[in-house]
Amino acid sequence: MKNKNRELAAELAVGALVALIFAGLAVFTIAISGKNLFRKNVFQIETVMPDAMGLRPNDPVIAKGTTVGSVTKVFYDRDGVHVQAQLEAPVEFHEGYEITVVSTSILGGRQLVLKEGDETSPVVEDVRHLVGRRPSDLMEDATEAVARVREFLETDALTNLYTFSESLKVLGLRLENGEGTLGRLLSSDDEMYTNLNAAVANIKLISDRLEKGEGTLGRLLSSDDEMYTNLNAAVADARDAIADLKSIAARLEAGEGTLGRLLSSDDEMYTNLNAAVANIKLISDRLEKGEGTLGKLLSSDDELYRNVNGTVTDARELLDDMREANTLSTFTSLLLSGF
Amino acid sequence: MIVREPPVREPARSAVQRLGRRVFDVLAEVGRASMICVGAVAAMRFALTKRARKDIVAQMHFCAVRSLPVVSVVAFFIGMILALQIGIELRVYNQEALTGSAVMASMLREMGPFMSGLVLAASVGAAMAAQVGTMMVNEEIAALEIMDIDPLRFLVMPRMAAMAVTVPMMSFYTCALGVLGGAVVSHTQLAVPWATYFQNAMDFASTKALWVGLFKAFLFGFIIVTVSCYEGFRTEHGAVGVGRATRQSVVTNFLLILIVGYFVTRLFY
Repeated sequence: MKNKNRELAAELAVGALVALIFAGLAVFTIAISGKNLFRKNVFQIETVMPDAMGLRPNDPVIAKGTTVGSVTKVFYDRDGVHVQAQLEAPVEFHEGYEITVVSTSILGGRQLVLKEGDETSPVVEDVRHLVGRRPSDLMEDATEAVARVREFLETDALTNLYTFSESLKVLGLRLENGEGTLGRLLSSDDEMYTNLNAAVANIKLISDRLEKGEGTLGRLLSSDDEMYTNLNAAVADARDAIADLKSIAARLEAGEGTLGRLLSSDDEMYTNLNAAVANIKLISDRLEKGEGTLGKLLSSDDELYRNVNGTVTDARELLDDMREANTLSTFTSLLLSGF
Repeated sequence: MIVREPPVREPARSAVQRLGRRVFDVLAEVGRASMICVGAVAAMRFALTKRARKDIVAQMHFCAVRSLPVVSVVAFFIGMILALQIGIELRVYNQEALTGSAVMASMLREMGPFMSGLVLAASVGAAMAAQVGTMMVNEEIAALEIMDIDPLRFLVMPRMAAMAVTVPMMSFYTCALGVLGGAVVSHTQLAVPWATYFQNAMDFASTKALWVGLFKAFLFGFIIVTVSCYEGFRTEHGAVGVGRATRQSVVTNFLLILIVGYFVTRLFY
């Protein structure tokens, strides 16, 4: 009896263990195979991609950052790689949608990412012939980045970097030695600080004076509006003067007045002036040549002078004679007029 | 024919002859072990008889239920160690959330069948070798043969049938507990949320890895029984011989599990 019970217990234990493990195995197999035994609302989509980048069945399908299904089949065809997926959410594709494969991590793993497109765009009805985009491979991108860095390092950039580093080192040493303005500022010597302090004190003094309205700048900044009024009046005067100048300029432009005529494009004055100058020149030439009375008068020939001088002398003598005779004639006239 | 007279051979005359004789001996041992395996498989046709069923269930109880505690501890700690080692490395790249995927993949592909195979070889296999060895030393095997009872059918077949089922079962159990142990470490030591760990683990679990792992465990079951029973059958010189057979069976099982495990992995990946 005891042996019988022991045998029964052993059989029960084995049976329970086997049932438990086989049930677990079945559930696990279903779970990792991606089969959906309980949900009936599944949507099938198919997309053709130029490159699947190692996408495999059961890889997750992501839309709006959440898992909405899984890849069921991936196969090669002449027009590209066909990827079939089973969605548990009613994803609606609009024109401008994007489907691509992305790496889940640097250690591997892929997922199919769906971007539904703009909701205002027309809906894509045929979800069995969606077109996928070429995926960007993380490793390819990393390789390209490394190649670029290598290319960068192979140029003079590295030398420049070394030079820059050396310059920084020299700069640091100079700063440490207190050379230059910055070095002095950073040095423990407080001369610069004292000067700076004095300068700040002066600035404070100036600002105090400005605050009090002292000096021209102070007055300008003060709340007293006398200066402003004067300035305003001066500006008004200047504006009037400018208006006058404008009027004068307009008159000059119109050729009014002497100056206007002089500045005008009308060349009558110029012609007259030119003719007058020509006449003056002609007269001066004739005078130079000694032509005419005035020319003869101005000529170096002193014959005329002598004749004139003689004539004048004669005239003076004649006048003297007349003056002497004039007293008698006057008396005679008076005498005769009495009668 | 299990019990046979030891061959009488002249001593080897040279080192080369000794080497050649040794090679032949090894090949003969492999052949005999293979014959035991083939004979036990052939005897599987009697596995559904009432007596055989009772023997198989008894062996399964011994192999599975009685081994459950040690398998549980080993599996749980293997998962914890894997998660800790992988997680520490992944944390350098700020990718510790992927610990679950790494633990799941390694447990399913290799560690599950490998660890369950080693544990069962060390516990059940050694016990089989000792039991059969003792029977051999006590001439019980000879008695069976005299009574025209096939030792392969009577002793080896139930063990082989039990182990062919038990080792894959224990392998899956090891995987499940290992992943659970990894989850505990990931959550407590690496601050990976439970959901993230299991989500990543399930994302990286593949049907192929599961079934290749189970196939590997199935082969390990055959290997353990064949080697253990073979070492038991060739036991001689009393208790000392039983100890030697037990030790030899464990060593040979470990080596074969490693070698066959590699070649099966190479075959499928």
